[in-house]
Parts: sequence; C-alpha cells; structure tokens
Amino acid sequence: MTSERVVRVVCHYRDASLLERVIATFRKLLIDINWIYGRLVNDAGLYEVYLGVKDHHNFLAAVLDLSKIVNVIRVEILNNVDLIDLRDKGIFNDLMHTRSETFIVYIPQIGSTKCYSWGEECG
Amino acid sequence: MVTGAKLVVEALKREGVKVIFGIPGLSNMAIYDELYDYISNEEIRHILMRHEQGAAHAADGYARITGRPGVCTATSGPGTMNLVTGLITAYWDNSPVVAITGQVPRAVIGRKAFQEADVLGVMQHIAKYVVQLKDAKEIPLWIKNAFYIASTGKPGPVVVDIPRDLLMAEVDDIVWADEPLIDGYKPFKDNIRDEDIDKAIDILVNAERPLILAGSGVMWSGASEELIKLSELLLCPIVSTLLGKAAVPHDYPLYLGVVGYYGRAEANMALLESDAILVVGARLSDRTIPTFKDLQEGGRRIIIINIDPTDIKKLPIDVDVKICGDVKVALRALLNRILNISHNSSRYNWISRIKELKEFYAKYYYVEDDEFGLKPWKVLKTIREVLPPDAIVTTGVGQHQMWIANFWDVLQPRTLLTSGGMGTMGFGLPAAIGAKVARPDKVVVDLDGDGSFLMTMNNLAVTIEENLPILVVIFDNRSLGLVRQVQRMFFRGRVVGVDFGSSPDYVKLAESFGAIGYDVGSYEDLKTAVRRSINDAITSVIRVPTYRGELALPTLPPGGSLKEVILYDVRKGS
Repeated sequence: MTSERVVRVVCHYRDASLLERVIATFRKLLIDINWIYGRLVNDAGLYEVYLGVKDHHNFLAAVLDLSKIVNVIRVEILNNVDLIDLRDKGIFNDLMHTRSETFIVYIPQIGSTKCYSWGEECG
Repeated sequence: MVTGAKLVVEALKREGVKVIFGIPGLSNMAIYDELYDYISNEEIRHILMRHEQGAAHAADGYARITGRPGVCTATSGPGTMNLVTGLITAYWDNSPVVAITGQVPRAVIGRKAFQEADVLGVMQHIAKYVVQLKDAKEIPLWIKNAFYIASTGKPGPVVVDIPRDLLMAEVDDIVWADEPLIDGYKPFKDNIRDEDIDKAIDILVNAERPLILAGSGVMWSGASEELIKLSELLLCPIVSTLLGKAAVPHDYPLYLGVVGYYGRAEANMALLESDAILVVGARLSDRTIPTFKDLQEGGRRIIIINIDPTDIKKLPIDVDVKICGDVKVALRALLNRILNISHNSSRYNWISRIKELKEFYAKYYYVEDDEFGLKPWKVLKTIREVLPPDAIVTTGVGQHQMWIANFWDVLQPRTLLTSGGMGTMGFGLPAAIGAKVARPDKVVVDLDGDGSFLMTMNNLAVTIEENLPILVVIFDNRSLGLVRQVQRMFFRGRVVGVDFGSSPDYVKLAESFGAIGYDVGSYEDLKTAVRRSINDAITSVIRVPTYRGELALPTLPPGGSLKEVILYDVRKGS
C-alpha cells in the first residue's frame, strides 16, 4: 500500500486559481491527491490548504516547487500524522442520521513538521 | 477622473517602458486609444507584430538584451492564446516579460463570450504569475507588481489580464504605488556563507582537474568578467550550457564549448574527466546532463551556485557545496577569497589534456567541402569573419541551432539569443526584432533554419515598416532536419513527415516584403551578401542551400551518456 504524505500550505487568496495552482503542482509531478481540505482563515485573505497525497519520489520536488509559487507563504510537511476520522467520534451522529452519503473530516494530529518557504527551510 | 486604460499606459510609462510589442483587438483597444497620444509624442513606441507569438518572442528578445522586462500586449481570446508559446519560451529560459492582455467584460466572463479565453486557467501553468484584475483602481499597483515579479528572483513572464469594462471604467482617487505589494512573494535571498566559500575554494584549489560549467545565470547576473577571472586564477577550463554559451567569450583559450546532448565532444569529455566541477547558474537540465550517473561517478566533487535553492535541492545527486545566491555576488566572494590565499595552480597536465582534447576532436568537426555542398561549420565561420564582434545573433530551433551551439563563436557576452529550455521553433526572427529595437546600433542577425523561419516569417514586414534592418540567414534543407536526423539515426531510417514538398523562393519572398533576398552558392558569395546587407542597412534574407542529409553532430543516442558521443555519420564511412 502506498503511504500517504500530508502537507499544509499557508497562502494568500486572491482568487480560486490559487487552489488550482496548489493542486497542479502535484499533478505536474504525477502525484495523486487522496484528499484536500482548505479554508479562508481571515478577512485579509490568509488561506490554508491541507492535502493528503500519495507518497512519491517526486514528493519533495513538489513541495519545493509549491514553496516558490507566488501567493504561497510556506509549505509544511506534516510528519507522523495521525488522521482522526470524525465518524468514529460520534460528533456527526445527528448529521449522519439525515444524510445518506458519508462525510469524512480528517484532523491531522501533527508529530513534527518541516517547513519550506521560497525553497528555504523555515523551521 | 481617468480611465482604467489610461492608468495602464501611465503605469507602464512610470515603469520606464519605452516600447510595446503587440496587436490590437476589441478587448485591448481602449489601451491603444490611450497609447495614441504617447505614441504621437514619441514617449512610447509601438511595434505592430504580425502574430502574437511574435510579440511575446520580441518582448523576450528585448528583455534578454536589456536585462529589463519586455512588454507585449494582445486582445482577449485568440490574441492572448497566441501569446502562450512565446510566454512559455520566456518562462523556461527565465526571461522577464510582462504581457498586458485585454479580457472580455466581467458581465460575460465564463459564458463562452465572443473571444473569451480562460486566461488564468491557461497562463498560470506557463508563466511565472498571472493576475486578473477585479477593480480598475488595482491597475497601478498590479502593473508595478508585475514588473517586480518578472524581474526579481528567477526572472520570468507575468501576465496582467484586464477585463474590458475595467479599462473603460472612470477612476478617481488614483493611488500610485511607490513599492510593489504582493502577499506571498519574495525574491530568493542571497545566502552566501563564508564557510561554503572556504570549502568551495578548498575543493577547487586542491583539485587536479577542476572544471567550471557556466549556465544562463552568468549572463542574467552580468558575471562574465568574474567568471573568466576565476577561471584564470584557478587555471580552470570552462564548459557551458547552450544558454550559458552567451556568457563566455569564445576566444578565451580555456573555453571548450557547450556540454550535453548536442554538445562538443571535448566539453563532454572534459566534464567526464574532471575531478571537481563548479556549476554556476545552471539547473542541469536533461539537455545538459542526460544522465546524472555521468556527474556522480568517480567521486567528483560538486559545487553549485544558483539563485534558486530548489534548483539545487531537487537534483538527484550529492552536492558538496551549495551556494544559494546571485551568481555575480557569489563569484566575487570566491574571487575575494582566492586572492587572499596563496595557491599554486599550475595544472600543466590538465591544461595539456584540454588542449589535446580540442585538437583531437577538431579533426572530426572541420571536414572540408565534399560533394554535399556548403558545410554548416564553414558557413558559420564565414559569417563570423564578416560580422563585428558585438553583433547580436538569434536562432530558431533545429539542426542549425545545434550547429550554432557547436560552431558559432560568441565574442561578447549577451550576443546570442536562443530558445534553450523550450526549444521553440520560430523564435529567431521575432527575437531578433526585439533585440534590434533594444540595440539599434548593433548588427542583428537571425541564423535560422527554413522550417523554423517559416513559422514566424510573417514578421519580416515588421522589420521593413519599423526600419529595423535585420540580416536573416536561412540554412535551407527543405526539411525539418533535426527530426529527420533522429528518424534516420534512431528510428531505423524511417523518414516520415519531415521533407517539404514545396518551399518558397526565399529571394522573391524577401522582396515581396520589401527586403532584399540573396541566394548564395559559395562561401565567397555568402561573405559578399553579408557585407552588402550590413552596408545597405535594410533587412536581407540570405538563403544558404544545405544538403538535406547533413547531420548535427556530435550527438548522443536518446537517453545516452556523455560517454556515448557520436562524432560522425557512420554511413559515410569517414
């Protein structure tokens, strides 16, 4: 089974092409995306995107490329991540009763991170 | 109150723009309406190209000569889409271009409107950045931002897409940006550490067979002088990438030529025999280093200077010293350090070996005339003898580009423009137009192939109407020669889809545009035609008949090692 890598992209939103560029960075290096979650963090346009991607020999190249895209502030590789499936926690029980489809939210429990900004390690 | 279009033109003027290459249409017409006065007052020059691809290449050529962003403009839809090839060419070669594109009004965007194209969707993958404006008040800031992004860090093209209603909108409370303001952008910073400089010097001084590999970063940072000085002090030979060729005067005795897929054999061999290599401003593409095993074998020490740290980190090889920063700054740091230490770099054996390699391989290159007509190397030598040393040369892409890579002598930095990364046919003539606009005092020559020239030759008209005398030399083999060569050598000789059944009469073609045409049959004819065209100061097209079976050699087999260099056509038995 291919292991999964999880990244968090902190970026600045101007329009939705930001998300296209984030996704395309993986696509261009032949990396599949298992899941993606993003949201506008504040009114100033700060945006965060979490992605679970299949591990791939191009993974670091994609992270480095992503780290130097205009509007991307930094990219964090989240290591030792536990993904918590909220279905198991009973939090969405009420919602699940009324919906036929499955609704899954992954909450990364982060062990350590490696961060890149414009090609440089930043913590 | 001024219009958005007025803001565009005024913002461009404030960025120091003197020339715009473009074609008007419905969605950028408001910009042209404002340009009217600036053109009339001779504040800004407009060059009407004959296809938008040419406009982007011309802006690219202008940028490569001046080091400042070249500007092009196109209307929405097909106009902007026609820029794509030119912009990706600039992106792959790190050339700063700013494209101002008109877009359909916001009220109809996304509705498959007349001449609508998804500019963000397309350009975000082939340019350094693209922005679509949402408010006319943003125009001054985003024009400034575009120039900043295009020209800082690793340079590249930036597209500013402006819906037509914003160009027509009346704006008050205009805010002119003094500084760029881009969330989430920073140019790469110089991170040149003393300990890395010390380590690099230690490796280079103690190496027995050191080598410098120069890339286009040397040209962009204007560091040719520092490069040569370092080579002299270390007695360290230089090889280059195709684009790095423009950074090294070829009369420097320790320069061996272009390394790589179509590189000179002695350059490839020197790389293989070196025990330490200093890579300066090159990203080591698959064209330069077809297989990294060649670099990694033999315990060779590797030092890399690159402004983009990701270019180093992404390499699948161990790098001994990584110096992240501007090439000129880094080379000066190396020079300062080496001047402060005592060292004795005699390197008699290594320099003798370099001389030996040069002499050995020369036998294979400089074959005199046979029954197959004019020899490309001799054609280039003949032209070089007639042109002034500071003449600017552009190329198309194909066999002629490989002949130029190996047999054209660059005598001054920044006098060779070629599409290295993207390998875009049709680059030569429009890039020459951009170069001539930038440096009207220089002789500008497009050394082209017939296949390549035919792709953008409609721009000959531009050279006449704008009084931009350019010399075009066409290696005419009536074929897509490089593809033909690969079919012959590596696809079992199954030549298909490459030979032109019909080709124009280039003399008549030139004359139809108002240029002068020459058809030469000898080196002496060629010399005369080149001299005459320079003296006449009018665009000239010189057709050089070229044997269709002529090969671009040396080469490597597909995916091959630098060790597998092919030097001659085995079918000729020579």
